[in-house]
Amino acid sequence: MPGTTPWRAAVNSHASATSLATKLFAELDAIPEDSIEARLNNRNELVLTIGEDTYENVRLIRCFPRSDKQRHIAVVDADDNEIGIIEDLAKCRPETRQLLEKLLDIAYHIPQIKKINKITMRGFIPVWNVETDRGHHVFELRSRRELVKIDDRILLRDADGNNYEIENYKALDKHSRALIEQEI
Amino acid sequence: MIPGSSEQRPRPTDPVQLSDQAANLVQEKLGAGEEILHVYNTDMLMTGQYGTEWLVLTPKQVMAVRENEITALPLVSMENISVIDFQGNSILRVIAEHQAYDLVRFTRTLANNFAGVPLLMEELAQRAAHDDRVLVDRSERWKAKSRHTHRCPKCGGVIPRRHRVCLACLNKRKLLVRLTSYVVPHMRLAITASILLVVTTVIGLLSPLIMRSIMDSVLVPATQAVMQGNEVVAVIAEGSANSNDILARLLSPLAQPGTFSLLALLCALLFFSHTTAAALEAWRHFIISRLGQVITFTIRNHMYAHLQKLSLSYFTREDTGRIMQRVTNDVRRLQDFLSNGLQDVVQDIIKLASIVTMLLMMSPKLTLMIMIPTPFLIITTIWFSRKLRRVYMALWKRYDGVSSILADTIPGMRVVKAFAQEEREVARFEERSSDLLSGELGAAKINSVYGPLMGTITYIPTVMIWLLGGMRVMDGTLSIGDLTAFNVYMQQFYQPVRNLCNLNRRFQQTASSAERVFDVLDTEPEVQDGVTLPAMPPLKGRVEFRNVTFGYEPGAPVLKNLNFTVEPGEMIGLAGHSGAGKSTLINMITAFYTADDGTVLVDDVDISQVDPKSLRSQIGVVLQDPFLFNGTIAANIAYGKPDASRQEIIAAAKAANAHEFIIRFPDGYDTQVGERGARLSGGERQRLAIARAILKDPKILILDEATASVDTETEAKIQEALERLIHGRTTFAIAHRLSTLRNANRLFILEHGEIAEMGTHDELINKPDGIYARLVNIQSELAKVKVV
Repeated sequence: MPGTTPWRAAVNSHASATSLATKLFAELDAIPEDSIEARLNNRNELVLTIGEDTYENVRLIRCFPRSDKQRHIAVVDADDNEIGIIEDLAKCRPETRQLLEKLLDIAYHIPQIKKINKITMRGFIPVWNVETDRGHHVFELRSRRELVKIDDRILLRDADGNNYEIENYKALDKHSRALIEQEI
Repeated sequence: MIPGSSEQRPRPTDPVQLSDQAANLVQEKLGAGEEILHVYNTDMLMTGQYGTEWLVLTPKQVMAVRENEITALPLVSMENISVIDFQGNSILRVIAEHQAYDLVRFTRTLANNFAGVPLLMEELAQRAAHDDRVLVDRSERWKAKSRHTHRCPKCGGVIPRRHRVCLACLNKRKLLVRLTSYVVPHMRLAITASILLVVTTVIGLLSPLIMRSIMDSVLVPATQAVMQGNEVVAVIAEGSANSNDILARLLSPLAQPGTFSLLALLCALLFFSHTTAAALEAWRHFIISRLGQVITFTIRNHMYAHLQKLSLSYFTREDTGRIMQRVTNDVRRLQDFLSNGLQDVVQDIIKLASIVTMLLMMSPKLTLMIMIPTPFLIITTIWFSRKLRRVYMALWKRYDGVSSILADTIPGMRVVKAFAQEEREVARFEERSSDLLSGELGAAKINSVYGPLMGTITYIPTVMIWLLGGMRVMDGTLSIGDLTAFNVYMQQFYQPVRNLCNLNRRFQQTASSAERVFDVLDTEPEVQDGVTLPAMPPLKGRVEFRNVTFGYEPGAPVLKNLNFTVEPGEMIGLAGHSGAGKSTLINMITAFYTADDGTVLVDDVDISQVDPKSLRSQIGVVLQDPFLFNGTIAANIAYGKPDASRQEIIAAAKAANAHEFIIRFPDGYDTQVGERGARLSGGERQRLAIARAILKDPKILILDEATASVDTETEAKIQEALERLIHGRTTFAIAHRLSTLRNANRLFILEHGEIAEMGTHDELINKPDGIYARLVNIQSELAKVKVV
């Protein structure tokens, strides 16, 4: 319940809000980053200690998995009740941050495409041959319409439901860009 | 891995092989006489990089094998085995002796391969503990059940979104043969159409020949005669007229070469051949349309009848829109192929063959020379149509972008104006619009080049005919008439070539449509044709679940080992969180789904062994949002008993508290309810559904949230009607509003697919920390708030 835990009371008094929404957020949701301690229990579940309170088996959810990976991380318990939101991972203690980032990396496996070697058509199926931050990869799409362009960012989903991302297609090399531009 | 080294994405169906190093690591861990049962490969490393690691199962151990490292755990020590799914990847996690181990990590691509692994490991562990157990590998069954894949179950290749069938595995010839079998009953029509086709095609090819005769046997002799000042007859005698001209020779008894009467005769023939061809073509077209329509009619009805026989799980699995599309669009595409496609192909081939024969007969050398550009034509046609498709695809996407803004903002204009965002919307639109513009310009560029380029390529032979043919005419080896006929034939030559270039695409589309249609026809019906299950004897109303387990997806049973007995006339209230399995339980009683394990018995009869229709005809169902069919109120009440008398219908409506609102309509019981009962309110529809159930007089009654979406006063009326209905019947009632379950003999509280609590309202309400007690408390709190 909001406002009942000691760490919440601490947040409440420090809230220096500029807008109504910001004020509400600080009161209801924000977890003070520097008070978080994280560890894994022997079942490999995440245990968070926030101030005096300890929460077993919690899960991290990115509120903006596409547009902001480092900020606005919701923390929920095993029954999906929200405990609060971590505003900015960068403000956490280094060892906490390291563990949380590692877990987020598993929970959101979205390789970044760094280079496109080629895009070929096998029948009606586009086959992408790419270099990602996780290494070389070849994947197949279900049609040529499986990519979403949000400004200069491109999101792809392959036939098996794996996601890929091109952070800024205009920043890719010339060859990759030419290939991409045929597809959007 | 070397960049660009692997062309092929590893497929889930690829054979699994341990690397030498990994095999060595595994060998070290194997005990005496221990063999490897299963090997699974992953497509990523634990670090998150792409690569391969392995999971090895033996009768005693599980091993995770990485480069230079192996984790081996005895199966008997397992406390928990699970696959944990994340976005884009999953982890197989086991807990052994209070310690968790993340064994392997894999992407969604391999999710189905690993779906059955926890079950298999559990079975193996149990067998390792008690040696006498026989291994039942249920993992394969789960795999077969899983449908969350866009890959072909046979070859593992991706199924294109638009086609929804694996094009690589399509046996196109077999499909087309099967499709053609629909033509067989209409053989006479088909044969007539084919004969007409050949005749019209041949007649169509006559006109260049007639033109040739006009040239060689009328115009040339006449002009030569004028120039030489001789009689035409003399010129003919000199043999300058084309001796090949069969037509002129045939007509010679009627008219002499070089005369006006021959010219008139030939022109009449020209006109006549054209009109005959046109008339025959019209006749053929009519026959073909009729053939196509008759076949479509057969397939469509065949399909609809078959759909009615399929089990409900087919309809939950397949999207309604897609099924409807199969009945309409796919069948129409088949019709197009059967009536037009096949004939077009035949026509094009006949045309090409006869044109080439004619040309060869006139001048083999010239023919070969002017055929030289044909391969170029074929290549450019294919290349351009691919390019065009690409460009238009991109263009289509951009169109979509523009129209989605329109679809967004025009209906939402009030919001746009209320938040004063007009300018931003204009800017957004302009951006998309300019994307579209650049796409359009690109397409226009290609399109503008396409026509003239093709024109030029097809024009080359024309020039060649004039040049090479002209030379031959000059040295007297070719007549002017031949030259003319050559030209006309060449103009007719390219259209069929172009059509045949696109043939493969057309076949592919038809084959995929055929596959989708046959997929429906080949789906096994709920009750096999020919197999007759015994009818369910008249019900008393006893229901029993024995160890019933059921799940829609692998590894996620919705009902877990349920055991209970309900006596005739008993009312059972079902409560619990949404997703606890209440509706699934009910669907098991009506035999909409079959248990994966265990049996459902009604009156001590295993319901999987009786005709589900005869069972359902004795069960009444009232759903939360009852489905009414477009028709009158009376017809809807009598849906389950079409022969009900008017008195029975009124009596049922009265018992359901529906009579009073029905007679208030000007048309009374004859009121049309509109599509899905759109002209009635939720409470009215509900009461009609209750009347429907009362009229059917079932021994088992199912109420699924029957009072959920109505106001309090209406609820009271419905409640009263329901009480009349429930009396003396075995009733299963699902309700979120727990007050409606107060009269139940027993309450089953479901939690995660198991019956967590069972008992009367009074027993459960007094249970400390009980789920039911808590739910009732929350609801009465809410009720208090409402009163305030």
